[in-house]
Amino acid sequence: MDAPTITVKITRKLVETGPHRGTKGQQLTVPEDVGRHWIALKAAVEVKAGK
Amino acid sequence: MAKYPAKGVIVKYAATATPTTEVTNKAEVGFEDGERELIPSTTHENTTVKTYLDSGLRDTFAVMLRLLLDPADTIHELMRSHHSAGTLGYLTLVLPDAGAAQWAGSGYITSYQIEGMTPEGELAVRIRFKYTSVETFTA
Repeated sequence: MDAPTITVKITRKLVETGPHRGTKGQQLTVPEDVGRHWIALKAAVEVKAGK
Repeated sequence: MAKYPAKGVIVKYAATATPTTEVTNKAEVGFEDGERELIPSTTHENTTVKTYLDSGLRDTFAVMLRLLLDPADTIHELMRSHHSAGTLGYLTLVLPDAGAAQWAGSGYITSYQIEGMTPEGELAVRIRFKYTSVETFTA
Protein backbone atom coordinates (compact mmCIF):
# COMPACT_ATOMS: atom_id res chain seq x y z
CA MET A 1 0.00 0.00 0.00
CA ASP A 2 1.25 3.46 -0.84
CA ALA A 3 2.14 5.79 2.03
CA PRO A 4 -0.53 8.42 2.73
CA THR A 5 0.05 11.77 1.09
CA ILE A 6 -1.31 15.26 1.49
CA THR A 7 -1.57 18.14 -0.97
CA VAL A 8 -0.36 21.48 0.34
CA LYS A 9 0.19 25.01 -0.90
CA ILE A 10 3.43 26.66 0.21
CA THR A 11 3.06 29.97 2.05
CA ARG A 12 6.70 30.69 2.97
CA LYS A 13 9.42 31.68 0.52
CA LEU A 14 11.00 28.23 0.81
CA VAL A 15 10.43 25.07 2.81
CA GLU A 16 12.60 21.99 2.57
CA THR A 17 12.59 18.62 4.34
CA GLY A 18 15.16 16.28 2.86
CA PRO A 19 14.16 15.65 -0.76
CA HIS A 20 10.85 17.49 -0.41
CA ARG A 21 11.08 21.14 -1.35
CA GLY A 22 8.52 23.82 -2.09
CA THR A 23 8.58 27.50 -2.90
CA LYS A 24 5.95 30.15 -2.26
CA GLY A 25 2.68 29.64 -4.10
CA GLN A 26 3.61 26.15 -5.27
CA GLN A 27 1.07 23.38 -4.77
CA LEU A 28 2.46 19.89 -4.33
CA THR A 29 1.66 16.47 -2.91
CA VAL A 30 4.03 15.22 -0.22
CA PRO A 31 4.03 12.41 2.38
CA GLU A 32 1.48 13.18 5.08
CA ASP A 33 3.99 13.47 7.93
CA VAL A 34 6.03 16.02 5.96
CA GLY A 35 2.94 18.00 4.95
CA ARG A 36 1.55 18.07 8.50
CA HIS A 37 4.93 19.28 9.77
CA TRP A 38 4.95 22.09 7.19
CA ILE A 39 1.42 23.09 8.19
CA ALA A 40 2.42 23.11 11.86
CA LEU A 41 5.36 25.36 10.98
CA LYS A 42 2.96 27.67 9.11
CA ALA A 43 4.99 27.06 5.96
CA ALA A 44 2.07 25.51 4.08
CA VAL A 45 -1.71 25.13 4.08
CA GLU A 46 -3.64 22.02 3.19
CA VAL A 47 -5.41 21.98 -0.17
CA LYS A 48 -8.66 20.10 0.12
CA ALA A 49 -9.74 17.92 -2.78
CA GLY A 50 -12.14 19.61 -5.20
CA LYS A 51 -10.92 23.16 -4.54
CA MET B 1 30.75 43.46 5.57
CA ALA B 2 28.27 41.57 7.54
CA LYS B 3 24.74 41.79 6.32
CA TYR B 4 23.05 40.65 9.51
CA PRO B 5 24.26 40.62 13.11
CA ALA B 6 23.94 37.32 14.96
CA LYS B 7 22.18 39.08 17.84
CA GLY B 8 18.53 38.15 18.02
CA VAL B 9 18.79 34.46 17.15
CA ILE B 10 15.89 32.53 18.65
CA VAL B 11 15.89 28.94 19.93
CA LYS B 12 12.65 27.23 20.87
CA TYR B 13 12.51 23.92 22.72
CA ALA B 14 9.69 21.66 23.89
CA ALA B 15 8.73 18.08 24.63
CA THR B 16 6.19 18.14 21.80
CA ALA B 17 6.38 19.05 18.11
CA THR B 18 6.48 22.64 16.88
CA PRO B 19 7.85 24.30 20.03
CA THR B 20 6.70 27.82 20.79
CA THR B 21 8.56 28.59 24.02
CA GLU B 22 11.88 30.35 23.68
CA VAL B 23 15.03 29.21 25.42
CA THR B 24 16.16 32.27 27.36
CA ASN B 25 19.54 33.47 28.65
CA LYS B 26 21.37 32.37 25.53
CA ALA B 27 24.98 33.58 25.58
CA GLU B 28 26.03 31.62 22.49
CA VAL B 29 24.27 29.57 19.84
CA GLY B 30 26.04 27.35 17.33
CA PHE B 31 24.89 25.20 14.46
CA GLU B 32 27.19 22.44 13.32
CA ASP B 33 27.69 18.93 11.93
CA GLY B 34 25.61 18.07 8.88
CA GLU B 35 28.80 16.67 7.43
CA ARG B 36 28.53 15.19 3.97
CA GLU B 37 31.18 12.51 3.73
CA LEU B 38 32.38 11.74 0.24
CA ILE B 39 33.49 8.43 -1.25
CA PRO B 40 37.05 8.60 -2.56
CA SER B 41 37.09 7.61 -6.21
CA THR B 42 40.68 8.36 -7.12
CA THR B 43 42.22 5.85 -9.51
CA HIS B 44 45.50 5.41 -11.35
CA GLU B 45 43.90 7.24 -14.24
CA ASN B 46 43.65 10.47 -12.25
CA THR B 47 46.48 12.76 -13.21
CA THR B 48 46.67 15.78 -10.92
CA VAL B 49 43.67 15.90 -8.60
CA LYS B 50 41.90 13.31 -6.44
CA THR B 51 38.21 12.66 -7.19
CA TYR B 52 35.23 11.93 -4.94
CA LEU B 53 31.64 10.77 -5.24
CA ASP B 54 28.70 11.98 -3.20
CA SER B 55 27.37 9.10 -1.09
CA GLY B 56 23.89 10.60 -1.13
CA LEU B 57 23.88 10.88 2.67
CA ARG B 58 24.83 13.63 5.05
CA ASP B 59 24.85 13.78 8.82
CA THR B 60 22.07 15.53 10.71
CA PHE B 61 22.76 18.93 12.25
CA ALA B 62 23.46 19.68 15.90
CA VAL B 63 22.78 22.85 17.89
CA MET B 64 25.24 24.03 20.54
CA LEU B 65 23.94 26.33 23.25
CA ARG B 66 25.71 28.19 26.02
CA LEU B 67 23.14 29.36 28.53
CA LEU B 68 23.49 31.49 31.61
CA LEU B 69 21.86 28.81 33.72
CA ASP B 70 18.78 29.44 35.77
CA PRO B 71 17.86 26.09 37.38
CA ALA B 72 14.38 27.47 38.19
CA ASP B 73 13.66 28.27 34.53
CA THR B 74 11.10 25.82 33.10
CA ILE B 75 12.86 25.25 29.77
CA HIS B 76 16.33 25.05 31.33
CA GLU B 77 15.01 22.38 33.70
CA LEU B 78 13.22 20.57 30.85
CA MET B 79 16.48 20.39 28.92
CA ARG B 80 18.33 19.04 31.95
CA SER B 81 15.72 16.36 32.55
CA HIS B 82 15.57 15.41 28.87
CA HIS B 83 19.33 14.91 28.86
CA SER B 84 19.20 12.93 32.08
CA ALA B 85 16.41 10.60 30.96
CA GLY B 86 17.17 10.47 27.23
CA THR B 87 13.83 11.95 26.23
CA LEU B 88 13.13 13.05 22.66
CA GLY B 89 12.79 16.82 22.35
CA TYR B 90 11.89 19.28 19.61
CA LEU B 91 14.11 22.25 18.78
CA THR B 92 13.63 25.12 16.36
CA LEU B 93 16.45 27.54 15.54
CA VAL B 94 15.34 30.85 14.03
CA LEU B 95 17.97 33.08 12.45
CA PRO B 96 17.80 36.84 12.89
CA ASP B 97 17.71 37.63 9.15
CA ALA B 98 14.85 39.53 7.55
CA GLY B 99 13.09 36.37 6.40
CA ALA B 100 13.56 34.58 9.75
CA ALA B 101 15.00 31.44 8.19
CA GLN B 102 14.70 28.48 10.50
CA TRP B 103 15.48 24.81 11.04
CA ALA B 104 13.02 22.62 12.93
CA GLY B 105 13.21 19.00 13.98
CA SER B 106 13.47 16.49 16.79
CA GLY B 107 16.38 14.87 18.57
CA TYR B 108 18.19 14.35 21.84
CA ILE B 109 20.31 16.47 24.14
CA THR B 110 23.57 14.58 23.97
CA SER B 111 25.63 16.65 26.39
CA TYR B 112 25.03 18.95 29.33
CA GLN B 113 28.11 20.55 30.83
CA ILE B 114 28.19 23.14 33.58
CA GLU B 115 31.45 24.88 32.99
CA GLY B 116 33.86 26.76 35.24
CA MET B 117 31.92 27.74 38.33
CA THR B 118 34.75 29.95 39.49
CA PRO B 119 34.15 32.31 42.44
CA GLU B 120 34.10 35.28 40.10
CA GLY B 121 32.42 33.60 37.16
CA GLU B 122 28.86 33.12 36.02
CA LEU B 123 26.86 29.90 36.22
CA ALA B 124 26.70 28.69 32.64
CA VAL B 125 25.83 25.43 30.92
CA ARG B 126 26.84 24.10 27.52
CA ILE B 127 24.19 21.98 25.85
CA ARG B 128 24.45 20.02 22.63
CA PHE B 129 21.26 19.01 20.83
CA LYS B 130 21.56 16.48 18.00
CA TYR B 131 18.77 16.16 15.45
CA THR B 132 17.97 12.47 14.94
CA SER B 133 16.18 12.79 11.63
CA VAL B 134 15.96 15.19 8.72
CA GLU B 135 15.40 18.82 9.72
CA THR B 136 12.91 21.09 7.99
CA PHE B 137 14.38 24.33 6.68
CA THR B 138 12.08 27.28 6.12
CA ALA B 139 13.05 30.61 4.56
